[in-house]
Amino acid sequence: MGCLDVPTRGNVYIRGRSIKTLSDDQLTILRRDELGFIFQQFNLIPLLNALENVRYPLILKTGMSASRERCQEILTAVGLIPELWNHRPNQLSGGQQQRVAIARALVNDPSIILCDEPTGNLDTKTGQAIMTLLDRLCREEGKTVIMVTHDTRTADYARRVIRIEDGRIIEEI
Amino acid sequence: MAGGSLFFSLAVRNLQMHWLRSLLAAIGIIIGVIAISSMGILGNALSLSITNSLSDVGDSIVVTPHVGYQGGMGVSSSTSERLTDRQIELIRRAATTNKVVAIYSGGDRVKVKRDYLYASVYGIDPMDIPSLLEIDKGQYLRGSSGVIIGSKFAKDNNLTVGSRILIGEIESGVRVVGILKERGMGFDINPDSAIISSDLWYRDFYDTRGHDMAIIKVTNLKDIDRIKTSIENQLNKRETEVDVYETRMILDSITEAFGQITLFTMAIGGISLIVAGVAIFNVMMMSVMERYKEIGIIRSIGTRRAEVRSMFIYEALILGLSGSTIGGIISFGLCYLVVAVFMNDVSYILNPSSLIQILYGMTFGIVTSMLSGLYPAWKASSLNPIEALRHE
Repeated sequence: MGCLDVPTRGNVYIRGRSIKTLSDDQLTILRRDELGFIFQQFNLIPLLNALENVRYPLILKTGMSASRERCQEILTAVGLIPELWNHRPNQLSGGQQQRVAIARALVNDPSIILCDEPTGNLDTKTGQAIMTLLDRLCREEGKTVIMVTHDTRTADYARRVIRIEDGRIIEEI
Repeated sequence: MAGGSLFFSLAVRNLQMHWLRSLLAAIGIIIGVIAISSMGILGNALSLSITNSLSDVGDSIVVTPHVGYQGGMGVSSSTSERLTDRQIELIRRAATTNKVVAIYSGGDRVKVKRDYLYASVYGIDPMDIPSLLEIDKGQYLRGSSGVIIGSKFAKDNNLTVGSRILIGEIESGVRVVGILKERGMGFDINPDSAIISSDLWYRDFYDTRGHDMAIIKVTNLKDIDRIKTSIENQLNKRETEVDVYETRMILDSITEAFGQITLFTMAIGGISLIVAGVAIFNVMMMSVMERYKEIGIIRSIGTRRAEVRSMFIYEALILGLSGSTIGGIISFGLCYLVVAVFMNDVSYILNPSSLIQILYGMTFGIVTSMLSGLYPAWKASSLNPIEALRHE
């Protein structure tokens, strides 16, 4: 679904296009423009500071003239204070890194946000804050948030829950 | 490509982050470039210096008696290894309008003031001397009296125009009438440390019958081959009587020999550059291994394969370019110093044919780095992003 791979059976359609028919470069562009990734391990680029991490996908899309203001707005929206914008990932807490990761996922205005255990490495309070943020993005900005989680409290935020065990769908709530 | 400078900046930052590793890789390139450039520059400077000091730059044909030729047809053995008047006449005929200077050449004990020393003595027709040698002080020979001396001979023995020297066992006194301009080593005669007398004086004094060599000063260089062939046809048809040297050919073979030596030493320098290439390859591969996950991240958020590749190629390019530039500058400084100290003439270094050696060295350095970076860059770009993301 993340277009990092193509299905061996069945198909995945994004905006009506079968991802099976796309080349590696086309899949990369699709990931850049239509998908936002949020990982359990945050996966920020260690060489870049918070603002640069957010700006990176925007530069890929629009070139070096990519708007710094837009990145600052998004960082503000996800609740990262300006004093931390020039910090490298290893100088930020888990919660702060995850906010940067969310800002990075949002910067190209994707229609789908894919989250892999987004609160898995965070304490309960920070986890709740992150979930509230994702919930707001879904309800107010119309983003599709697809999330993988082991945590039932996190799953409670979802409108649709699919339980998978050993690679098989067990139930759909 | 979107944001080419973004990947350049990432490459710079990665090299900065691992500065020690990058520095060591660059030092390899620096050493390689210094080795190649310095060998090239010094070889070229040496070649230039020798070519310069060989004053006869190829407008002469030198004819000498063939070693082992016994004079033939009943000529006494005393004339062996000398040019006979017949041979000189035939040479003159072959030379047509070009000047032929017949030379007596030998060496003798000379007494200067109270010192005895050994010097070369040449006997040349005073009329021919101006076409072969240039006077610095005093005047050319007039008639058979007096001698001209080489500049080094004059300098070493504190001789001036008017000084008196005694030649031979019988210590025959002659007066110095002129001192020659420094001429450098030649293929024909080496007058700098010699005494030049008139042919008449030489013949009387040494009681000699044949000349030791003949020099043909060729006005039109295109005639060289024709004259040479003509002499060979006239004199060497039945038996090799004379050896004919073309100074241009000697000069060419010396230059070629130097070129080969320089190339050989540069090739040895090239080995160090290959070692440097292996070091860069190693550094780049380590960089790829260490950044497996990072490559997975940037691929997942929309970086194309070609962009990942460019990032690593930039790294190799930066290492190669910086190493080669520093290496080039150091080679220039080093060679400048060596040439200034040992050859006393830095113009050999500033000559374009020397300076281009730095460019060759730098080009080799950059190409080696780029080649060493290609496989790691390809490896990085072809990683499966899912596997790369899972990598810890």
